[in-house]
Amino acid sequence: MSTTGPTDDQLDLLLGVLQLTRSDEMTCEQWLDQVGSYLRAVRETGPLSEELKRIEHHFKLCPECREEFEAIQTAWEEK
Amino acid sequence: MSERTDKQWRAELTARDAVAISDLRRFLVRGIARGLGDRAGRDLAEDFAQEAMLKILDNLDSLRADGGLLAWCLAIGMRTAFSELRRSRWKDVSLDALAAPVREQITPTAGPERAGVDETKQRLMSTLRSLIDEELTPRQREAILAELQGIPQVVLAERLGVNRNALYKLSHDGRMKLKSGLQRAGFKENEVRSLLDDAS
Ligand SMILES: [Zn+2]
Repeated sequence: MSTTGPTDDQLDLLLGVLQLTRSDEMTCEQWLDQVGSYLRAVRETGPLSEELKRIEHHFKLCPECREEFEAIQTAWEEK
Repeated sequence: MSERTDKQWRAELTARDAVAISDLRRFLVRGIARGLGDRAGRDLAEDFAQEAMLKILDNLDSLRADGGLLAWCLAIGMRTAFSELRRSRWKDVSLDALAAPVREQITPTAGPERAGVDETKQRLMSTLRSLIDEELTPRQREAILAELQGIPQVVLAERLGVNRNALYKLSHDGRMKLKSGLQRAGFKENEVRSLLDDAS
């Protein structure tokens, strides 16, 4: 896909991602099952369970899921 | 429609009850339209909701959704919508032409006090480049580099012939290799962090 190597900016970005990388990350599919619990927890701004913290961690690493969740949140709050 | 419990929703949708299906579709159209805001009009929201309905009905059996069925339905709707939007935004972009532009590298003017930091950072960057070349499989490399270029997962997954979950795992395995490679090369996590902080 790309024949040239990454730029320094991209490597900086990657280093930031590697700082957050860990073995027990949640995947893009896994959080969907618990989205209702996460919505509730975020609304109540209470402490998150370990499982919900993994969702939060996934959103730090995955901008696309974060964008989707923000849209879900908007829709859910106005429903 | 909000009076239904999850159990009722599940039973009625499983039985393909026409009223439940119509209620859910209406909920999805409204939710998707609100969530997308000015990213898409009502017509598109209806198309996305229709497509999401099929996925929802297909996946009801395997669904856990312990946090609420409607929230899960909305999440499926939003994922469907964003995937379509991202796909269409990238449909005319040839991924082969996406070779990262070699940007002019801006090196901060180095005073004597920066020299040590810059040298370590340069060593870190060159180690990372070598790890990308030598430790990653071709598919892991392609996935990670494409993500750094901002190519959406839905586009990349199709290109690699995998689903989004498998793509995430591919990239995650690659990241784990790079992370442990840096540690093996002697870069401690807090050292990398302070170099990053220093750069920002
Ligand atoms: Zn994700």
